[in-house]
Formats: sequence, C-alpha cells, structure tokens
Amino acid sequence: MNNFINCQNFLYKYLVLELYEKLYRLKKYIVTCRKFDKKNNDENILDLFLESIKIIGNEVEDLRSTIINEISDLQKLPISIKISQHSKSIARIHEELKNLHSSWTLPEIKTFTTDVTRSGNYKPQDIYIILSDNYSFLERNLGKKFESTLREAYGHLDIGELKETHSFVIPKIEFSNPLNWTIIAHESGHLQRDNINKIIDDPNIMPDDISSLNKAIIKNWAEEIYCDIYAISVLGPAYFISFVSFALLSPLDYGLLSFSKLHPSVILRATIMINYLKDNKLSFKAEWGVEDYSKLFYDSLIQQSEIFKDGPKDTIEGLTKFNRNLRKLIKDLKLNEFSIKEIDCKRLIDLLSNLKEGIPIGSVCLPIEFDKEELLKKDHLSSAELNKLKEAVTERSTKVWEILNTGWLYKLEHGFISGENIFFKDTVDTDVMVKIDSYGKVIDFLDDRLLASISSAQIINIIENG
Amino acid sequence: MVLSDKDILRHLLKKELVISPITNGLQQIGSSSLDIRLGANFKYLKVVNQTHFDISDLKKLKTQIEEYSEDIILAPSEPFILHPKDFVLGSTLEYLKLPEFLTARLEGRSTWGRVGLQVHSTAGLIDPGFEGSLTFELHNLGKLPLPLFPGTRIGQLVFYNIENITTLYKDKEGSKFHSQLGPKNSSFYNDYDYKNIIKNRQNDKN
Repeated sequence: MNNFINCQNFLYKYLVLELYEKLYRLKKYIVTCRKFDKKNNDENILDLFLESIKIIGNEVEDLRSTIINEISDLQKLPISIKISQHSKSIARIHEELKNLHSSWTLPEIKTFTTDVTRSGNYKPQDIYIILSDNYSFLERNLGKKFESTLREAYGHLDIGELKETHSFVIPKIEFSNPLNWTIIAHESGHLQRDNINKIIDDPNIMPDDISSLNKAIIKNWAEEIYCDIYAISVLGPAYFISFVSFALLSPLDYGLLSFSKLHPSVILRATIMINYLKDNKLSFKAEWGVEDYSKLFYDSLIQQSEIFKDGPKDTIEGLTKFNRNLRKLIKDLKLNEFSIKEIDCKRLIDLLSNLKEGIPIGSVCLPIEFDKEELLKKDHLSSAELNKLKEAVTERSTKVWEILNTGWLYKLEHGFISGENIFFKDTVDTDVMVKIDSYGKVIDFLDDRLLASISSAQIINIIENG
Repeated sequence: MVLSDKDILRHLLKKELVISPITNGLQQIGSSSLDIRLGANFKYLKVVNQTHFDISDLKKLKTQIEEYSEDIILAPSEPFILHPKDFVLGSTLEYLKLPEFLTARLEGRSTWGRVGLQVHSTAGLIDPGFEGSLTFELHNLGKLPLPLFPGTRIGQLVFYNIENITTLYKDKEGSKFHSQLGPKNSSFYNDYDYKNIIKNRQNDKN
C-alpha cells in the first residue's frame, strides 16, 4: 500500500526518524518557551539546548549513513544499541528542561485525557496535567502522596484522608504530540480500581507454573497488563503502535525480554495486546484498504528481541497459564466498546484523505441513505426535501480512537515518506539542523491538525449534545 | 450571483466546496448563507512595553508584532470575554476550501450584532481557491462584556459565482494565509510595496 513500510531497513529508518522527531520536538518546546516567557528564559540557556540538539543530530547523521545501505545481521545489534544510546541522550537533555521557565499546557491534552479517562467505569471529576522534565508518563494521586509523607513525618497526628487528585504527568517534549498521548490512556487505566481489584483478587490469576514470582509481582503485572488492554479498548491499534515504538526506541532502558517487579517484559505485554486486538476485531485488514500495522510493529519487536537476547527466553512460555487466565478475566470485564469493521476502515480512509488535504478531522459525515443526485436534479425542492439535503451535509464529531488511528496512518504512510526523502535521499550534504527543521514542518502539519481535531470534536459534542 | 441554499448544498455534496465541520445543516444553512462558528484559538493584541514600531528593520518589526500578540487557546467550554472596545483576533471552527468558481463574503449575524459584536473590521472577502480557517477581527462595540464560547455561531458566509479566474488565492504571489489553522498575525511588512517604502526611506536617510 505504501513505499515506506516496504523499503529497505524499514525498522531502522523508522527508529532514526523517531530520533530526529524527538530532537525537533525538543527544539519546538524550547522555541515555545522562548515565545511564551521571553523575560524569564535566558537566551544563553536556550542556546545551550539548541547546541546540544545539533550535536546529537550530527551523531544521528553518522548512524543514518550506515542505514542507507543494506545492513548485515551482524550490524543490527550495534545499530540498535546506538539508537538506544541516542534516545537516552535525548532523554537526559530533556531532564535539563527543568532549567527553563514554563507554566503552560495545551488545553487539548486535558480534553484528550478527560475523554480517555471517562471511557472507564470510574469517572473522576477533575484531572490535572503536569508537564514533566523526566521523559516519562505517569498517573499520580497527590492526595495519597501527601498523606503518606505527612504520616511518615508526623505519625502522632491524625492526618485523615486528603482529597484525591488525579494528575497525569507527561514529558514536556510531547506537549503537542497527540500520537504519543496514547500512553495517557494506559495511565488512566490505573484509575479503574474496581476492575483492577476484580482481576488481582481473583485466585485464578496466580499461575502455578511460575514458582520464582511472588504474588505481589504477579498482581503488579496483572495491573499493568489490564491498563494496556484498557488503553487498547479505548484507542485500538494506535496505543499498541505507540507502545511498541517506545519500546523499540529505548530497548536499553525498557528491555524487551527482561522484566522487573513492577512490569512484565515488553514482549509479554505486546503478545497479550496483539492477541486482544485480534480476538476483539480491533485490527485493520489489508483487504479493507488499511494495512495491519500492529502486526508489522509486533514482528519488528520480535525481530529486535532476537537480536538483543536480553532476558530469559522462557518468559512467555513460562507464563502461559497466567496469560490465559488473565485474558479470560479481562474478557469477562467486557471492556471494549468498539470493533473495527469494513465500514470503519472506509471511514478512516476518508478521514485520512481529508487529513492529507490539510482538513482537520474532528468531524465526519454520516452515510447518506438516499439518492442525493435525484434531489439535486429537481428544479423545485419541497421544504422536506431541502431539509433532507441539509441533514446530509451534517457531520458528527469523531471519536478519539478515529482521530488517533487516522493520525498514525498518516504518519506511517505519508509523514515517514517525507522523512525518508529529507534524511535518506538527500544528495546534497545539507546541514542537519536544516533537515530537522524541514522534517519539523511535516511534524507540525500533523500536530496542528490533530490538536484542532481533538478540540473541534469536543466542541461539536458540547454544542450538539449539551 | 448570490448562491441559494440549494446551490450551496449542491457544491457541498459534490465536495467542490468544503466547509468542515457543519454540525447542524438544518440550523446553519439559511436561504442564501451558511452560519459559521467561533473556534478556540485567539490572538490577543496586548499593551506592550514599547514606545513605537521600529520600521527601520523589518526583522525587528516582525518580532515586535509577534510580541504585541498573545496566543490564547480555550478549553472547549471556556469563554473568551470580549470587553467593550476590546479587539481580538479569533478564527472559525470551520476549515474552508473554496473552488475556483466561488468567492465568499464573511458577514456578522444580527443576533450578535445587536449586542455590539463586529466579526470583521475590513477583511470580509474570501478569494476563490482559499483554503484554511478564516480569521475574525472581533471587536466589541457594545457596552457589555461579551462571553464568546468556542462553537458559537457568530458569523455567516455568503457565496457568489465568479467566472474566468486565472489565479487562485493559493497560487497568488505573496498569499500569506493559505492553509492557515487559527488566527495569524498581520504580516504587512511582507507586502512587496511596504518593503519598497521602507527601502526607499532607508535610501533617503543614507
């Protein structure tokens, strides 16, 4: 269906473009800081960031030149390690954003977060968004945190329960990137305590085939997997692709086969998610005009895990029963609100074509069930016939899953082709910052349209439904 | 000739004319006009700590104009309060694409005109081939602060047929607002004639 996915070294080109994108987003954040708070942001500090971006950009350029040609299996590990190292450098520079003044967040993040959070059974009244210097997505209940801090310090006092507050922490450079806000959906899954408790308190959750893991670990893992599935039930493949992108870009940080006390391995999580996507008809089908990108990303993940061999291989096999029981328990919760049918794919293709033309996709026309041509041919229309035509041009607001999946389709099918042309087919030796800025225009085009779509969809909901 | 409701609908259904979103065709399409809504993005022209525009340097002028305006993005149910005599740039919720055979005029709605809201001061004509959201030049001529919510129908478009167009807006040299989303600052300093005037002044000084 498109050239980029099928191109030579797709995975590595994709990951290098992700690095360039992160560098551009870092620059975008800094430029925005300068714009919003010129008085308090010293030019010299801002220049330090810009200089760092250039240095990392030039290092990524060296890597890029290796990937242009065919690469051998032996080269794959060192290339993957380098990608991960660059990703880490960007995350470290990101941490230094604490030295800049910034006190603004886009209202679209809150609109999006409220939407994905309220898709669950637990609907918090208020949520807060915090842009963080650390490159991480988190959900925090500050009320609980304050309680424990105060109890620790003043055990003799009756602190009582402080008001629950739900804050979502988002990396600063993702402030305008709805495609990666998908991770917020996972974090909002942690608020769905009723569902989580149903799973972790069920005796069937404990696998008897794993002796090395204690109950607490299994419960942590079950919660994480529930949150992944919650995010998929709200956003479909968009969450999966975003999750795998993160994992592939930073395997040194996340590990692919290795696990921790809090998180199961990336491979286990991805395997359960892809099964859920298939079981619940949440995959795209090539015969409906949209490639199953989840499968492509999953295959890339498996391919990379074989290169890395960073953990015990029996992780997946050893957890067969856990996997099976957990899937059954999640299925009983009847989470998913939608499945992807042929008609949905067709609608997404229409939205994609609008996006390509620059039209925001916060709304979509409903299918017309009468012969509009017949009516338009008539010289005189009755008032009822005219109203029929007026209803035919009326659009409904799009759902957040439609916006984000269309956004990912755009990025994979069009955005990266532009990126490939800018970085991999550059015959003149253009300065890396010029190329990053040029790619930035492609990124901004999509960001702006997705932000407008999220805002517009919500406005339409309010004005038409109250 | 002004387009009727049926003509507007024909062009919309044939996708020759794009206006998105139309959230309620029954309410929005009148006998010869289409109501448009206020979006969530504004540019507020603030009082700045500068004594004058520095016209000796066009780059500086651009920076000054950027500093002169503040971007405001509203949450979907948050109002922008436009105080009496205040002026702000807003934009349409709708994205518009005009074909080569249509031109349009932006007008206010009398519902809002009666409380003093003016939606444009001088720039009401939309050229054939224009694409993007439209910029409102919002001015409160009344005596009460106006609560303007995103999605409010404050304006309307009237369409006209036009023939023998050779240059579309997007192809015109110096077209500055093609494909814009949200309000954009003025860039009068980019007009070729304005540039020449400044150049001429500088030559005179030298």
